[in-house]
Amino acid sequence: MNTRNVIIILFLVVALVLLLSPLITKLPDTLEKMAQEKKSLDKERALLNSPLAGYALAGIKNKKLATAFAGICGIATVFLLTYSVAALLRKKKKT
Amino acid sequence: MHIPDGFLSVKVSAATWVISLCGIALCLKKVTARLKDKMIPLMGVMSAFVFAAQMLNFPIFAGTSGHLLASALASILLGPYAAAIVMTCVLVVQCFLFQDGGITALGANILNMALVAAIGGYGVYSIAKKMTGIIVATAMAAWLSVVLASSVCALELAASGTVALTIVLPAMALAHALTGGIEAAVTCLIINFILKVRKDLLYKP
Repeated sequence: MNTRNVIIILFLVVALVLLLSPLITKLPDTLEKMAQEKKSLDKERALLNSPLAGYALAGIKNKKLATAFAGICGIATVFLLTYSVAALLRKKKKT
Repeated sequence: MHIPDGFLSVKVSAATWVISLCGIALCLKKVTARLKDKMIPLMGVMSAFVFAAQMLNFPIFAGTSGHLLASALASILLGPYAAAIVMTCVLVVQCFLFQDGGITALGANILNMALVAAIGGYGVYSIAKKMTGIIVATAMAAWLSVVLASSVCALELAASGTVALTIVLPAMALAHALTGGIEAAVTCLIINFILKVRKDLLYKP
């Protein structure tokens, strides 16, 4: 896979998120729903305080825009992290 | 399926962390042994796709939502070990940047979604491929990877004493049997497309 194809696919992934992020449901997932219904499960405590918590960039009032920005940040971070890990493993193999 | 902080007991949290660290160490060793240059960007774009797919929550039933897992897709394209590493990278970013899944539960989330779903999914795919075809094997792997991962998640919650197994296992398995259906359909469409345009991208053991 050459650089051009990588860029094209990344653009397509970003476009997918931009296109579909306004449609993301705010409904709870099965675990969250059970936590709401059963008090014994209601123990969720976040140990972090990230500006991107809940897939929305803090400080942006428009929720759909905040989610879209968070999505782009996430795609970039995940791509760079995985690419770096894979490149490091490749380097380790060569040495 | 991302378990938050506070849902698991210390014992279950510690045990799943140990299992996951050992599993990831094994995956890193296996991947390093056969990693080719062309796989590096593929792992990068796969993780971007997995992240995007997991971000898009859709309604399932009874006021709950679900999202794709894409573990089976990653393992069919990259092999089980590279897929587990891709999934782990996604889970780490989701945990630390988006607070999706807790830090203490990260070991369990890696065990469920990276190890059980990706490696288990690939196991189903490789067995089913010999008996049926790539597409049927893909559908089975995609569906089972989601149901297996959610069932292990339910077992961890029950072992933690957070909720009774008789409640959490049917609830998780049923919800994920439905999202697994969508997962299977989407994975089949993507694999079918790749088979037509770039068959060489599929992992060869």
